[in-house]
Amino acid sequence: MAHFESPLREPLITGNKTYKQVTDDIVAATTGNFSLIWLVSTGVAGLIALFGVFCLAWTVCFGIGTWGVNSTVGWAWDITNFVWWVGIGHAGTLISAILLLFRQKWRTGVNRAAEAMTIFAVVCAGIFVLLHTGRPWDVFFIFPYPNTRGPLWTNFASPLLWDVFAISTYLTVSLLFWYTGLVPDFATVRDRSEPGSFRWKAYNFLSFGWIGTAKHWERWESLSLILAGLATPLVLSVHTIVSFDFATSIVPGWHTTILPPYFVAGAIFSGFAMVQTLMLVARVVMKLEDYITVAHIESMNKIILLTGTMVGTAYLTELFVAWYSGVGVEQYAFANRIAGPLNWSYWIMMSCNLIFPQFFWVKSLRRSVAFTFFASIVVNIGMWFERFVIIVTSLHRDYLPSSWTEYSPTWVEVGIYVGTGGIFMTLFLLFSRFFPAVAIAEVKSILKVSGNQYRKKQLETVKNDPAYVADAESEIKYKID
Amino acid sequence: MSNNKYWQSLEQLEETPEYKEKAAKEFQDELPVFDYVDDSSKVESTGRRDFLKMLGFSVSAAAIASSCKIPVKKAIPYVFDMDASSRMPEVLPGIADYFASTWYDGADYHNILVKTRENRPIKIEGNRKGPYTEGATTARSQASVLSLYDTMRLTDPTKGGESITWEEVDKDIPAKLAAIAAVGGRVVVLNNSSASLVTKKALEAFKSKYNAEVVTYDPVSLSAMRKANAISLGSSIIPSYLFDKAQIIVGFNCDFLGTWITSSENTKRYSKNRVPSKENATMSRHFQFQSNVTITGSAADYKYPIKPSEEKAVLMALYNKVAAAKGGASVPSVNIGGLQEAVERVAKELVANQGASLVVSGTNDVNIQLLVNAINGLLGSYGATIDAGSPVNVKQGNDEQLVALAKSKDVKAIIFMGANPVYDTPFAKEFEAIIKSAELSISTADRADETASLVQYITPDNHYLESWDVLEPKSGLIAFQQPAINQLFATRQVAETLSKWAGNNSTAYDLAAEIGGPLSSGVTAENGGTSWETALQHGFVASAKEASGSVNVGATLAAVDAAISKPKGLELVLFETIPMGDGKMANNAYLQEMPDPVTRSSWGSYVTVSYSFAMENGLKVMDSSTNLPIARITVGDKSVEVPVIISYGQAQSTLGIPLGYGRDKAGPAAEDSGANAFALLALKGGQISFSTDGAAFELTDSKVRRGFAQTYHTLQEDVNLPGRPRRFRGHIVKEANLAAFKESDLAGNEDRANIQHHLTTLYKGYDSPGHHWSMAVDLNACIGCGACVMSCNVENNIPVVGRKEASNTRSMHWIRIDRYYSGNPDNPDVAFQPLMCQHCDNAPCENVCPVNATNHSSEGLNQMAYNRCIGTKYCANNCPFKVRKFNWYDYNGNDSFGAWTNHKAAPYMFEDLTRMVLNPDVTVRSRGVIEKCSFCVQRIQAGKLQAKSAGRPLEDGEITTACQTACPTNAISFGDRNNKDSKIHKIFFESGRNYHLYEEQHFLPNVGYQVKIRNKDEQPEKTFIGAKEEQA
Repeated sequence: MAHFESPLREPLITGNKTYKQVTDDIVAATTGNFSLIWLVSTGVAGLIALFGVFCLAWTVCFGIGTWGVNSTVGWAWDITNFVWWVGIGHAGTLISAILLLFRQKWRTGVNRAAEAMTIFAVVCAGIFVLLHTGRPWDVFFIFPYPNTRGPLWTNFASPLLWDVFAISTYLTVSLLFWYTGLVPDFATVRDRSEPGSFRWKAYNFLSFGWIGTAKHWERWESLSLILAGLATPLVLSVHTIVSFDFATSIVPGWHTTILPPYFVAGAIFSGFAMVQTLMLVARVVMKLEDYITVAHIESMNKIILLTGTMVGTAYLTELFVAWYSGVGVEQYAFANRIAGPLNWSYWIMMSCNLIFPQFFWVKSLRRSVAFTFFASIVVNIGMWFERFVIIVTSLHRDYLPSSWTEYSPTWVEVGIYVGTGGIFMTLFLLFSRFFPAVAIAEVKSILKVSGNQYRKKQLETVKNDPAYVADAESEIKYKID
Repeated sequence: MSNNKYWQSLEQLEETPEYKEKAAKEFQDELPVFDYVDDSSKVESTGRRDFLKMLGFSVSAAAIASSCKIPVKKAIPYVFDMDASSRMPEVLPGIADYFASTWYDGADYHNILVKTRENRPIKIEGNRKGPYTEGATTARSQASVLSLYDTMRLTDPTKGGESITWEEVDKDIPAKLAAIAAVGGRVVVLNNSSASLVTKKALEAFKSKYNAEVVTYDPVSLSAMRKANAISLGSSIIPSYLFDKAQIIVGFNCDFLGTWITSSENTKRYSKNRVPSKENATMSRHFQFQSNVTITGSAADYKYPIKPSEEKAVLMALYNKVAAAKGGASVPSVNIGGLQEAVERVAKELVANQGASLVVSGTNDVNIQLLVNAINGLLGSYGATIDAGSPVNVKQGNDEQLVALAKSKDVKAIIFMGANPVYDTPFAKEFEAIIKSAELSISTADRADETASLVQYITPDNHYLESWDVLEPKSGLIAFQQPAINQLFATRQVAETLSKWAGNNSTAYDLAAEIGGPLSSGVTAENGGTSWETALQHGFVASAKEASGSVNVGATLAAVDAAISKPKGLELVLFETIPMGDGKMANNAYLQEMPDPVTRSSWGSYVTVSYSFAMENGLKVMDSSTNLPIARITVGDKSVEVPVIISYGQAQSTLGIPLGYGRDKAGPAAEDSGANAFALLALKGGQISFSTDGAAFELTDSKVRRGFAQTYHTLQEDVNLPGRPRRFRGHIVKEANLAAFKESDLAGNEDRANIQHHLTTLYKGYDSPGHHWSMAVDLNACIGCGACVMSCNVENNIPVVGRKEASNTRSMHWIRIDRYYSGNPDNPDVAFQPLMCQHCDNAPCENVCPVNATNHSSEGLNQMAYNRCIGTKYCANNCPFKVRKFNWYDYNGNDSFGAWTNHKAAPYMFEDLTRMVLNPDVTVRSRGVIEKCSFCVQRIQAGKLQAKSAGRPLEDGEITTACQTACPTNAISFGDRNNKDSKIHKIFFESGRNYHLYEEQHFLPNVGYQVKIRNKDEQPEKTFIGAKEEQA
């Protein structure tokens, strides 16, 4: 059944796991008493989320005036946070769709959590889409629905409208993809619980009565593939369209054609960093080290290195193009980023996004859990500042010097941002407790190819091969046992 | 006629019995009622008793239901006066009525029209027929309509703070006055300058009845000028200044376009000779010697910062130079250091243009005014540029009398006739003592202000829009005030009050008619009215008088005290700002929020320092923060704490503090507005001096956030990158020298041809087949006075955002006047640029709105549908000119939100009374929507409608925008660019000076600017040395 894979490849599942052990290990996290660490962290995250909701309510009651934005800087933390959260969501789609199509087996260990993260991040982003408006109660105007208002219709030329379609499509497809993957695993959890209990009923409901027949699996496989196909263009489209909010405008510093690829790369960059942050904690807390191995971490770090370098190249290209364009206001916009009053944010961005990921050229650092965790935080800080630089430093000094202003946030804006972090963490913690955080069925599908004990067998097979060169054994750097 | 009968059926023909029976019934079939009711009811049909029971129940039920309390809504119907003989204007809902009136505030006057809608005054317009002001208005006259609806106005007369009736007032006060007069007690009426003939007459009667004396003072006094003129001209008048006749204008600390006397008239005259055209490429040359920067100084071609203490020496040197050329006695020569060259140049040009030259000084110092008179006398300005035969009735105050009164201790009765000396003189303590010791103290203030809150009786005067009055603001001009609304409260015009106390029961109208009637006898009666009524309708009676006084230079010089005193320490200048003036209108939220044209700050007092002074004291500049350090300024034993603002061009070692702030009892808008600088005034030579030496400047550790409409002040990009040239965004405000303009009318605008050559697009633009509204702003004419800003505010219901929000740079003004500096930061060139929505034909804001809330009209207007707006602010971000304003809070007290969500920091439009100022033609915007200049679309529609109903094409100039009508210099032109004969067409397609902002970006704005021409010989300096470079 399982195809042969080179023993040179590092095993993706360690600990000599059997199918039963895989099920036991992963389902274990959803059973038993609530751990103290889970209760405390969920409580803290929940309180932060509640504070965020309070700040949102404050904004709706009293108006956007409670923020620090002004006549010149119309968008600041709100859209910065929106783009940041949407960007973070990208990793999930990339892992589940593009890596599936590219047959990257290592994705099975992290895809479930990454997809969950995508959905929660998009939920957080959606909060800003809705509440950066002055009249959130009228936001339904944005949908092209038949109305009695005569010729009033949405403006299909506006990138904000494209955003609405892009984000809602993205959320729908991601949600479907994630849930589809969960169905057989819910059935597994159900089968592990006492028949007739509430737990059994709940998981039975969630699994849509999955009984694992061949027909089920066949349809499930087809659906997964179709959804992967649908989701693939979304990976590129969503952040491309988000970048259009800026690229199609006339604000110096926004109006650049490089923004779509640059935003997509940045999104994947920040998304992988967020996956790292979450998974590095989860694998320890939920004892999933055998499923999320250093090999997984290293693979993701390679992508962070690649996309970070792409983003950095884009930063430098932007500078070149501004100089080459000969457009005064454009040149000033970039000079102002580098040396203007908010230049600290530019240098945070440059050091976190361009310079810091270059450490991943070093294999030991790439494979260091502690360093990876640190780097993932740095990257996410850097990516937040990237959006801040693009939005605020472009706006605060544009065409007419008379309207140049400064910007500083208020407690409400900071509270909403921190609050979305709380919402995100609360949702993720609930997910990790009640849902199988690793895709059981998918991990099992690679167990006999990428499990460490099977690697050993493969090595034996290879050894019997007349073409086997003994030196190759030294190439195998990983520990099979 | 045929007798045929047509039968319908055989039955009818045969007349069967069945047919007969059916034909007798109206309904052919049995009614089906009984199919549905059971048999019992068929038998027991409703009896009479049941019927009565049912009737009784229904009637009583209806009675109970209708006797529940239902709120009664009272509505007062419009009274349509159908009587043709009545000459009262008919009130038609939706149609505005205009009443001619006059604005007069003691320093400035102009003829106005009061626009009323449904009997409410909502807007002040300049009266274009006004003989000297020709429709000019000022920011304060524009805002005065809001003061009518001031919630702090007293609604009744008060005694000891308690409301009483006018009957009680008229019983008590004359009795007390009579008692005081009977024993020879001193009765004093203290007032400010007034041009009212009605009040004057009433005062005369009052004076003779109670043997009262009248003391007049001006908070910002010019009494030294009257004293000097008494010596030079033989009478203590203030002459008319004819700035339009002058080719060389030299100002010494004189803000004659802003806050000095008759500024509206001066501005009108000045601007006539300041805008060169291709055909007539000439303009006057203006030199200004100034201590603190004013709009007048900013308009000057050459300006020289001087300390107040240097003014006299400079004038003496100038006099000597002029006298040397003209042959006159000289005054002792003094060393004026670096200013020698400037004085020589000014003297040379003055002499070369004698008879078309004018020297003015705004300093309240007799010696300085005498020197100015002597120079003007030598140059033959009297009769040429100074009309002493038409004295103006402003600044009538006499400082010596005020000082004498303040020092007196025998006042038995004092009437403060609109005067507020506890606030606006340096004698607060003295007047408090007088009030305390007087047997009777009365104020006619409209509110319990600083003085009125201390007196026994307040008998509130009417607002001027509720008053009948005959004014003589200048000799030869009789101007009227008539009520545009009935009195809102139980107030009474002061003339009527005084007459009544003097025993004359005439009403204000009778008093006005008594004087106005004879004065308007020469007016040709129109529209079936009398000549008095016609004169009222016109608003004025003008009789041109051309006469001139001559100056006795010898006597003038003999009176000059040539001694020059050495100043100690820093010199402090106390000045009026355009919005605040002397502080009388301090509770006007529109004015508080109006940025000062020079400092661009709002909502409070400050101290201005020069750029070099700021550098020496380690104050950061070019720091675009609104967080200002607070300094303590000490003069003698008095000190104030005010935030520091750098005023580029302020003279070295001088500090400037504006007057008019720090009013404790004016009302909520004036609260916490900083220090009262009147307390710092000192006496010099018997006159109140608005500058003083020996001031100490000390920075404190605290800071305060202050409203700034502009935090970045130059067109120079401020980024220090090694090797990067500091670029100047000169294409925003284009400038040229007059000499260059004479050679080519494209001067300063040479790059435009190349830009236009490169403009191209793939897209089909908007078609404007009918009208294509466009606006042109002449940067040469604009003096930055801000009348347009205030006019726009009132016309378009612009919300007031309040102190805190202004400091967050969230002002809602639809038009702002950007102010840019270039050249030496210690004495920069200044350019003002009014900026409103540019109504781009290729508008960046339009295509980014997701809901189409902003879109383009077929007439070239960029429109806003407020109700469609969801407030993404994307349009505001994408607006290159940042003219789109967002309603951050609920500034209007919208009822659909809970009152607790209203924005408490700007509670200026929450009261029903204040909201009466709102223009019913303009939507009041809700929280969370974007708003911006609409090119006064309501006026465009009204104008089109008027032309349409008259069945004629729209004429050029028929539609005017609010900013345009308010502008005293006609800097703004508006019209239909498609009309080949229109002024705007000529400017846009024929003037070499016209350009558009960021034209190369292809926004296609419908607002054009005309290149600023300076009458300078030297090329302007482009660089502006910023702090960062200095520090580096």
